[in-house]
Amino acid sequence: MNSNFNLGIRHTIWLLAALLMSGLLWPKNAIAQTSSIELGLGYNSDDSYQLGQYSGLTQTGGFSVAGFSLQSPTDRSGETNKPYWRASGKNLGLESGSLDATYGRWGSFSLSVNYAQLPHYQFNDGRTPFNGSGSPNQTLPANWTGASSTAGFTELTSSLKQVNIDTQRDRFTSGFEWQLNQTWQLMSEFRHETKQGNRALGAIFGTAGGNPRGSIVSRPIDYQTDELTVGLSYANQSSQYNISYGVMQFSNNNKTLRFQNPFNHPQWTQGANFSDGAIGQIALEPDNNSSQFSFSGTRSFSSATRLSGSVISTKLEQNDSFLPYSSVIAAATPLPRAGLSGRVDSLTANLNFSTRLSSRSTLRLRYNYRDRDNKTPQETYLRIAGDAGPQGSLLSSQARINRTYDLERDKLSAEVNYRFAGKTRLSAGYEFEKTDRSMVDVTTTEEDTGFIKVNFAPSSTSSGSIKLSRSERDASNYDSTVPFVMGHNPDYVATLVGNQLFENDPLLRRFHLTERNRDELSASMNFYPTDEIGLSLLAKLADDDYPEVKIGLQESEKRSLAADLSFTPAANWMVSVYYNYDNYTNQQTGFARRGGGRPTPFYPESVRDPANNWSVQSEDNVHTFGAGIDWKLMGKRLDLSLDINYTDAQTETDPFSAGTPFLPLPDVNTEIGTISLTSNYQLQPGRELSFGYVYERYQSDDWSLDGAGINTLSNILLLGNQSPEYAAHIFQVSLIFSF
Amino acid sequence: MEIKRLVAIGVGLFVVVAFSLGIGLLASIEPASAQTTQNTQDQQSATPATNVCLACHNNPVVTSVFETAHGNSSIPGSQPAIRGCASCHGASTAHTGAMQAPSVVFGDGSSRFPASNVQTQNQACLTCHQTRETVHWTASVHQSADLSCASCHTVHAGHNAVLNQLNDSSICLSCHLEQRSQLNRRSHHPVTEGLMSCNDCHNPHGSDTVALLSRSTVNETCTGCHAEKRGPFLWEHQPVSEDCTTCHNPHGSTQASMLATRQPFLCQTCHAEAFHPSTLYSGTGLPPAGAQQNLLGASCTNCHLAVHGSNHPSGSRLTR
Repeated sequence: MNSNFNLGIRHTIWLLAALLMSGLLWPKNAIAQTSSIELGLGYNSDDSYQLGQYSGLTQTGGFSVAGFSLQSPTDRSGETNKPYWRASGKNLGLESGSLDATYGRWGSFSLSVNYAQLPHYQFNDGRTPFNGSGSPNQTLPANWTGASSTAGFTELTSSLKQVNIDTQRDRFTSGFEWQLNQTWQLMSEFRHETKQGNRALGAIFGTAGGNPRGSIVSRPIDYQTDELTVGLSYANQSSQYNISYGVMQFSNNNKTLRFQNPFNHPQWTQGANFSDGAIGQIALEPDNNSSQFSFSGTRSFSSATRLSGSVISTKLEQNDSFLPYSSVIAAATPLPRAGLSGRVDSLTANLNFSTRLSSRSTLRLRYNYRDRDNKTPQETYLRIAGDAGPQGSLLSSQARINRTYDLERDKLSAEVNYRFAGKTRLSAGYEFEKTDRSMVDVTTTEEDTGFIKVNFAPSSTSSGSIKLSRSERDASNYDSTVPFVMGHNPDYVATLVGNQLFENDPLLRRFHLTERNRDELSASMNFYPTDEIGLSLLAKLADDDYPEVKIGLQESEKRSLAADLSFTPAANWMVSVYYNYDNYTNQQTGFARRGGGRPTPFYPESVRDPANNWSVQSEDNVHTFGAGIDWKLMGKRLDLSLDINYTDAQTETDPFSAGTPFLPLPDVNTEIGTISLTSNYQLQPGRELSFGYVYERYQSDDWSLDGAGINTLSNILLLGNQSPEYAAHIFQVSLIFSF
Repeated sequence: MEIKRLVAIGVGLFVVVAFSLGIGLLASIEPASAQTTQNTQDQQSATPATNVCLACHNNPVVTSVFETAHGNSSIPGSQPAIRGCASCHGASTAHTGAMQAPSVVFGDGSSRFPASNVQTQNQACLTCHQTRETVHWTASVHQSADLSCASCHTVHAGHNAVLNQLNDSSICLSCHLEQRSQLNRRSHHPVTEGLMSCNDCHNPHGSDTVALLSRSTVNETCTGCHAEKRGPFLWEHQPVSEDCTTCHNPHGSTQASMLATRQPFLCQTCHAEAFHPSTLYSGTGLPPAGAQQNLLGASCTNCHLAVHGSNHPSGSRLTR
């Protein structure tokens, strides 16, 4: 990936030499230094996409260090409406650089522009037999031999090519603010953003014997997003109002991924095999556009009473042309429409009221409303499971109706605070949330939440808080037949009997829709025994219990502990240390249902074979440690800082079944350690020599990647990328000119 | 549904009308001053000229404020133009006269003068900053936590440091310790790398939305950058349409793609259809014991590649 304005090493050296020879940059005095330029060189010792995932430092070698911050000279003349400007650049030697500039007149207007790059490198050890990897059209070598499974791909090894997966965003933003007078202000914001590169994606062609055949390929990313917002605001001491209108357009320059099918299978129809030259098609993301109107306002009726509210209305649309049901099979039943004409209208409204009931107590009331109204037309689509498959009949499960999900949510909350003598404060609140959904298992959920919180200060050098909350969500009308009935052709549904109206296990309860009891407890303490020492301690416990779940997520627990210590033994040095421990646990259950049609004895629960029951407990344990020292020496001419960060994360997954064979899964581990040392030495007023060193070590293992070769799976060609691992040294030295 | 929308629009219109009437009817009424008694007294007192302050405080730490709007006296009608240092620190007559504490002492105070209470400190800022980003400060969670503006902002620093400080997520993470840990995990947004800031998603001064989000919903916040996932798709994935955080932890995760739980088990919390969705996946599916396509590679998304929604007419199972 190439950067658009990445300052090369040679240019950096020339620029540095020019600055050194330029007498203009040598400081004339030590006080009025408001601008600076930094130039230097760096070196990275390791090749790793993971190391440079967000910086772009993915390869061994040198890089340039460049940045600047310039601004108009200080003006204390008292003359009104004087113009000012600022300009800055950051990371200009890397692919993650940015440029900012602002011009304006104090109290009148300001115009700002910004350009930023944001790389994201994922991996570069993938391999694929496809030609044109990363493009919208991917073909196989001329000598490719099709087979029904990956083991039969005799030309695979000789055809492999390296695959790099990475993207880069380039974002231009501008903003304009115009102070019309003391109370009215006009503003506008504009964003133009592109994202280019590639990403791994499954390219599934067809199924055979119920098993899909496909390949993981590098798909192209070529997105463009444009957003414009204009607004007008009014503000005086007691009232503020803002009205704005915005539009946002997303464009995908690749609507289709076309790929040659590497497989042959005798079950597939004529024209569907590799030997027939079959091409599969994936629909990539369609364009979309939205418009949004918003109004917000606040009114202070007194110093103690305030009312605020907002209304935001959004319309989101897309109508890209559909691909055919299959790129291979001529569908007997045509598409019901050429494009979706999709439209979703959203409305959010908020009302907040706060008042001081007495000198010690306050009351806050809030109402939030959210509505998602999906106005997309519903049609019956007679799907073809893969490009190779036959089209079923309208009286089959292949005839599907698109579900247009609506959501409507009302939330009302009240909170009372009472301040006791000293710094003790008691808060209590209640919240009621009602959510109505369409076309899902539960039409209405209602959740009640109550909390109580105490803030206290046992002494003048310590403070703390304890908060306890409890939520209960009711979903008593859970009906697992709804998604099936709403998503299939009514004529087909009419052919089924009551205990056949499901795809999912009817005992399943989806965790975000079903009954839930949530208990949370958090406690924190802060100690400041002296001006030089600060200690913060935090503990959090959260338990989610799903009492009605027989299949699905039954329980989720979170435990977090954190400690943060800062110590300033002298005015010229500071030490900080922190540690976090997080433990997340999920307990879920399942019922293995293999074979048999809908009439198979399975439901109700009493006819099930308990040998098919299973459970999985997954647990994350994460330790994070950090320390930092900042030391100013030699009369503050030398500024030294040392930072250490270390994260050790482990995911344990424990499957269990009394009647189904199973083996334990290995743990997934990630260990990331970073040591960075920075020193800034003031050569003379206005000139600093900066030196930086970073050592970073990354070790990980992941059973989904490690040992999984390109053709390890019989039905899917993988890219074969493995868990990242590196140990890198990064050095950089630079001169900072201030003037 | 329509009735509810009408009610919501009615509430909105009521707010508009009420506020508009508020402007008209109350314009002639002097709004109750939100300033403290001390500040009111200060305003009525003589304010020291800035050069009086600089007679003692003429050092770079103080004078750097002149690089910012807070110290710029060229803005017509602005507080700095009218009152100079007193616009924030109050008249401080006791300070200039008898070397007692200034009317408003920000931050943690100093060895000589204790800090003013949080309300007094913040009111000095809110005199000017009550619009746009700070409009929801009153009754916000950070105000309730007794945070002062100076807890995060360093007003005297030049180079627009007020904003730069906020862009530096370390300010936020010094209190939000759990998020600090999450941002250090293998899969995270580039906040600690300095390419994103907490402000890109949150408004720390308060908002109408859950978790102080800048935009009106969680999904609108996420799709501001990930617009390709907005749809509307022909085949929606219901949890995606409702709330991205059903599956993702936006601050960081030990799993790929910031997923809250590992695949296939995350998917199996909602999918227990016959055959592969309801199968128990274990070490029997890993080499050398086996090679299960729902465990290796991208797991479920090897085939269900369009988990955020599909626009393919055959994509009802999100495989196209």
